[in-house]
Amino acid sequence: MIGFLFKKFNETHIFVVSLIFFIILPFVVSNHFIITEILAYAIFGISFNLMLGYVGLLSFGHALYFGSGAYTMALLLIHFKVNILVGILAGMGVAAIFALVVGFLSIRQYGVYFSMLTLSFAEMVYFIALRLRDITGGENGLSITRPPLRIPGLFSISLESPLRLYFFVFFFFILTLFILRRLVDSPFGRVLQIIRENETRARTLGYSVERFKLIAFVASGLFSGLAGTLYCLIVKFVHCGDLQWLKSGDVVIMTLIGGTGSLYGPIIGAIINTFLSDFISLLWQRWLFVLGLIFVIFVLFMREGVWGEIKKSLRGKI
Amino acid sequence: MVILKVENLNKNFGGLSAIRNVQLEFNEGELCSVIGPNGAGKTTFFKMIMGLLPATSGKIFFKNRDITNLPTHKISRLGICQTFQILSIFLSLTVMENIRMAIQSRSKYNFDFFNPALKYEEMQQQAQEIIHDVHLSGRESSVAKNLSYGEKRKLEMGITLARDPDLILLDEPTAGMAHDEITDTIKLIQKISERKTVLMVEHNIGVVFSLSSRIVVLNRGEVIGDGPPKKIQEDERVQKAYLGGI
Repeated sequence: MIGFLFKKFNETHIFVVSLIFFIILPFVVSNHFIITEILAYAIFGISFNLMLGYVGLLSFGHALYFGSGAYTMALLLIHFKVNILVGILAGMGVAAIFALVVGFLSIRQYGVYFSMLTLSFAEMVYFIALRLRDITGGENGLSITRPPLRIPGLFSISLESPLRLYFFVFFFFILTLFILRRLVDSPFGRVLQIIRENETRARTLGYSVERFKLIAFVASGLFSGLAGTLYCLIVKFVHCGDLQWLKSGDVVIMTLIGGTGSLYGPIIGAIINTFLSDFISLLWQRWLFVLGLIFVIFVLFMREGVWGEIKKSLRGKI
Repeated sequence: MVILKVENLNKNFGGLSAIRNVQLEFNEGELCSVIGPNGAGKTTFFKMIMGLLPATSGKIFFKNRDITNLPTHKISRLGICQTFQILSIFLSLTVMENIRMAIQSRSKYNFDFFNPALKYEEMQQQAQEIIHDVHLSGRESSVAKNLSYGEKRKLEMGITLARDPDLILLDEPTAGMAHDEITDTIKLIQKISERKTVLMVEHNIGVVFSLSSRIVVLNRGEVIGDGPPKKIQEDERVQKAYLGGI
């Protein structure tokens, strides 16, 4: 019966299903804060996975782009009281510039060397931010007030209602998913795929491998920055921890648990990770132990993550 | 006209010199085989032309342009492409996609970020022609890893042809092929050489002598023979090093 439904299941259907799922979600779950947080993390995970899953490079410093996006938003709101949309664009821009610099310096490296370089650059910025206490607030961070969504001359909507905030973030989530879906299916995305598969062959066909990788890295940083700005609006707070390697680790864990094989894996990872950190942590202080255990199980037995398992069980139908 | 010129080329791997003072010129339209015993430096020579290995010293000129130690993708864009002895195809992609990606590399769509890759039908039509040329018709939608060994060799050749280079380097195009597949490949190489310059490393002496207009013999990194097949067959040094007296 269900098999029949799934007979012609393709990417467009998955997109529509996730769309419907996230539209219904706020009317089923009462804790809007958590599901909004999930969306922001999902954007972070999807853009991180563009590097890990599609280019095959593990960046261990993605907190830099997330955190710089969040800080840009916070600082612009505090000092210049800018429009949120301006803050979002600026945050993405700053994150992309960081990604361009770090990417330019590390994209020629492979495997663990790439991971270590990206990690070091991110930690460098983290320690600078920690030192500049007057600007960044250091470990205590900065609190912001969430301004309304305002388009001059048209409308101004308060985002204090949790449901409205949810759909505000949801809009950017769908936009990211749509743009990155188009990107991985485009001629450019296909080049990323063959570079991951056989870099030397791609070179002999005339593809300048480094340039393609760098563009993907900047795109990944750009959308991680978007996730950061949204996260800052959700929690109304930003601190140096948003730039720290623990945050980079979060997104790695999220993506590996969810599955790297597609854009949808990290969304599932974001749900699991946020659920664990927000619910299990209330029940048991040592909840990180549970997360660690789950992570180990996935790495040992389910290398393709939750999404990979779902795909396997529907084999031939997707 | 000279299309490729190699001047005093040397390659050392530590203490081992894999290529020693190689000095060669190849004319446009030539079909030249490079032969020699195992470890003679044939594959190394190809990899140096393609920019996959840096030269220790010496120069390589392609169409009168110095291409020594240029990055591989730039050399490819100038018009050189090679096939690999150890197969180098995109295993998880279909035959069609393998070929299409080679065609896309010379299109203007590489930095199209937003349109579906399959929107551009002209590239798929061109790919179809190549697939027909390399005798893989009917296998378009097969995933490359599921092909037989002979078919994979054909695909390897197809990818390189699809890049449409002026100079093609074939590294053992018939290695491991069945007899009738070899006949197909000989015909294909003959057809290619009508329009292109072909340099070929090959162990199958039958293939070498039936195709080449010129043969270069390498031994321990040195050129020990160069000339038309007949002359090579009679050359004493070559006989001693390689042919064992055919």
